[in-house]
Amino acid sequence: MGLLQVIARFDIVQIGPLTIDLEELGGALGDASQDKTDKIHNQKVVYSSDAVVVFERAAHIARRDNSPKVGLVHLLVAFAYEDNGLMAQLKEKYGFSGMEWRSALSKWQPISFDKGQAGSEIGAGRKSPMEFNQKQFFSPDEAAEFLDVHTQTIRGYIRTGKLPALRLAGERALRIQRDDLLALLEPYKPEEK
Amino acid sequence: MGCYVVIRHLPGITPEALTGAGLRAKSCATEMTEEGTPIQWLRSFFIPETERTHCYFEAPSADAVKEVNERANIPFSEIHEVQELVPDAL
Repeated sequence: MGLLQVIARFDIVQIGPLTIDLEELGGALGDASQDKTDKIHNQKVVYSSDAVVVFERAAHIARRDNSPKVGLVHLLVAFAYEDNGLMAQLKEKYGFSGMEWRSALSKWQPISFDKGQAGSEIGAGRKSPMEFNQKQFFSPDEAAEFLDVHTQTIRGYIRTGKLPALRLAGERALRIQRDDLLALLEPYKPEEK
Repeated sequence: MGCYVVIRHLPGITPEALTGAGLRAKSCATEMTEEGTPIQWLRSFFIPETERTHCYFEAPSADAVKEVNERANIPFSEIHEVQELVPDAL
């Protein structure tokens, strides 16, 4: 689920022809999922032997792919072989096989695994101020980078109506106008004592 | 923060299993750092002849190093604090 959240946009994962709604999936998982989340936050989580197998499989796939690093896509492909847990639920709910999952991933452009980790390379792919100065419309990710906040914050603002967003006709993609982003900023007034 | 070595004996380990273990160590170190225990996997050396690895971590305590390895499900036999010597500092 964590991997899917990394690649989700507005709780939607789009991999080739497959569209997975994480919000709906979370609801379908129900209380059990919530329990699991609580468990993750409150207890030490140890990788199970099943997870160890998935990591090794991902390393094997990356090696076969002649990739110097194990990427997010390799980990996602490694899950194609799983018939338990979340993967089993995804296969049942969306009616795809492991083969179809791998096929969808092969056509999908992944983001680097490292980029999503702990921020060791945060900023490496950042746009220069000049690039931002010329832009009038921003994707949610770019808007987050522009204001130096998390994408989830931008998503929250859009959901609550604090930040207007436009939808490209017939598409899922959202765009935010530069002026609307700037309008979020207000002068800081120190509290009167 | 101290530097610690984790010594493991991993007979018959494959390159894929080593990579998988490294990924898990990396992700668990990130997880613990986000939880407030700053820990970093620095590097590891695998000695094919003896099938042992020496993995170096920067961490606040040996217990933190133990925990990250338990979370990552990577077996180990010893954990010791080490003194780092680098040529440039001499």
